[in-house]
Amino acid sequence: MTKRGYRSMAEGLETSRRSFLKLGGAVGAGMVMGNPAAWAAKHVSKRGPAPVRPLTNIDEALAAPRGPHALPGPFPGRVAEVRDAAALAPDGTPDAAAVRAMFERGLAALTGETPGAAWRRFFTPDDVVGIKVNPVGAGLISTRLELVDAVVAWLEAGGLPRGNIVIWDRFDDMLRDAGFTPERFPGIDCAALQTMDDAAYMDPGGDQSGWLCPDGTHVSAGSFDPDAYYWVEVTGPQRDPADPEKDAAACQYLNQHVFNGEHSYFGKLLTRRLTKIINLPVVKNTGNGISVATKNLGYGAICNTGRLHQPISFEVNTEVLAFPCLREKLVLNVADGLVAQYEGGPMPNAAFTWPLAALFVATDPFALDRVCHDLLVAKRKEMGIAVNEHPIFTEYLRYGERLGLGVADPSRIDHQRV
Amino acid sequence: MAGSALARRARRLPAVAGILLLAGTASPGGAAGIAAEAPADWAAAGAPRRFVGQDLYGHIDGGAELFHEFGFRDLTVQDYARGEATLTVETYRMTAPEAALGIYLAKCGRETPRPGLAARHTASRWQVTALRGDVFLLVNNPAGDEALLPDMLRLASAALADVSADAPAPLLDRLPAAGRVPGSERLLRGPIALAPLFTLGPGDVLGLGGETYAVAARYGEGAEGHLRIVVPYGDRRRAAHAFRGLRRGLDPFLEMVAARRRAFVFRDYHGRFGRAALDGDTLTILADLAAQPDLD
Repeated sequence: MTKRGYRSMAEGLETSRRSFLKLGGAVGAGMVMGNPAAWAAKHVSKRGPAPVRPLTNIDEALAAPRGPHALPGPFPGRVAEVRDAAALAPDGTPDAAAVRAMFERGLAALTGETPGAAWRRFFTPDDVVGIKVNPVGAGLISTRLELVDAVVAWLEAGGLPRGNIVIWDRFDDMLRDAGFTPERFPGIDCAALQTMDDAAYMDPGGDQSGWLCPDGTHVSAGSFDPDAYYWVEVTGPQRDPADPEKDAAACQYLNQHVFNGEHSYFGKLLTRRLTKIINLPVVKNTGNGISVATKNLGYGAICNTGRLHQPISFEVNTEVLAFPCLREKLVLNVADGLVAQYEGGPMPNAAFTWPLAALFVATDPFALDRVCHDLLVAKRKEMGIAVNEHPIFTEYLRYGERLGLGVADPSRIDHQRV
Repeated sequence: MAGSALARRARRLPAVAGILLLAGTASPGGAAGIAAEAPADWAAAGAPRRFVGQDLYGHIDGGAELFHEFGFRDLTVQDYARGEATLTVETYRMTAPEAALGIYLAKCGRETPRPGLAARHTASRWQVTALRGDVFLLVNNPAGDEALLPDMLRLASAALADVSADAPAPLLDRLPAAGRVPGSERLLRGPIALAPLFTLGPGDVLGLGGETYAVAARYGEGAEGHLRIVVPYGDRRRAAHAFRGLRRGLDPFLEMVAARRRAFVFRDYHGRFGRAALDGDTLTILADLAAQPDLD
């Protein structure tokens, strides 16, 4: 596949894209925001320019027209943090009523409005609202069902039919394992972007028919939108029948990531069905950084992500959110900090979880991530965990601010503790 | 969720250190290190799963790099059941006691040992993390049931019973004792272990090469604290080469503010300071200092 370009994008930006990325994403962002030469002169090390990173089609995303709900939404930089120790029983079970009250208090602190008025700010009865959960670490560090219940109750109270609500994630079995099933949420669609065959993954020489079609495509290939994609000039492992080991690795990659070329397609669910998105990530670390609001969507809304971790890492969180199907539809983020994890993430690790009993509510996912990053750094220090506070671990947030997607500067964040 | 299922899910996580998935097939047999006999009332559930070499990515993608950097031999994963309760024992055999200690120090967090396990360990209702000889051991309790903690400790004891208690080389003795923050000690054998502590530059900027062990620890508390890294290369030429490499490859966010032939001082992104100094075959780096140090 050779085509590039987001479908809502005008052509003719090739020069700026290459210039943008040859200097690295951060310098390129300076170009987008105004004075590239000055920005580069200030930020490029005296010992040489920043390493060249792969090209992406971020400039195409940025050129798409911004609508009335575009990030960072009506409350840039504002984060409402709600805590209630009574929201968790001693065994860690959430109290549904307390969680709902916390959500409503957070919503009020964010918007200054009643739940009904806040609903009308974000939705109309015709909307199809997708609730993006994080099902990883089911029952331990996954999005709590009680928080989803609270959000669903708010949506219904505002006048949205249950049939217009979709609880979604990338992987179908993870969604089920975490309890997001039609039985638990009757009348609500629980939808995944793709499937993955675990048995085939563990036995690359065995039966691959659970994910691989006779024509060589993934059974979930049709779930992704061929016209809406994040393009990055790097590929996943390629099949090679002449080299069984290499071929097996490519098979495993395709099983998990659906495609292995230079395109990470957005799910059709996002591009064609949902009209609004509510993001319900969890509060956890990933190495020296965090995996909260931006990462829940940055790596959860597209396929073929395995190729992206090493070369551009956190910047995926920023650039993917710049695409219209997220930037124009993501209206609210509620980070589930009822139980949070400060070390060992993004893998679930119970030894490093703690009952934070908090929710973080924001329209601005970058401000929310900044608040959660600082919180997790403080917790790591408190618990005697080594902390590396190098700016590279928060650079993607500043990048988001330069792209006009949110606020990352702590001095400009309105952190309201309720 | 059982431990194996957690691992299966974890494999899909977008690890920032990110490694493309490699062939990761669990192979049966060769169950070295697992409990020869489960404690009373507990029974092995299913066959042990063994991961050798690069197979480890099939179990802990996103976390396997650290094990390989220190020197990984094999992993055996065994589930145990008693009624509805399940526990999982993960026995990591490393290439040397130093490698096992390096992993343990990186993973244990604040140590909270409990009576009943005669090996260095930390224990909570979720997990027991233990060390003996060349073995790093985890006992996972997915349900977090506090009542199972004694059983977790007994399982750990059983799993470690036949492991030789060879002591690692006294590498940490290279760190001054005065002012050292207990529990902050780390071993380093490459960039993965260094990453959580401080970013000095890209890649293996200290030239450890997966062979040389460096040691690190925090000294002092709060804003007055700092990080010390000591790298005994055991060879003057290697040490000098590594020092030059560090100077050339110093992270762009660190500004060199003073330098002479065998030392330099830098200022970091928070306005704090550091110093790298070469003395014979040893490179000593101080970082996160509140005030600018002398070159000497």
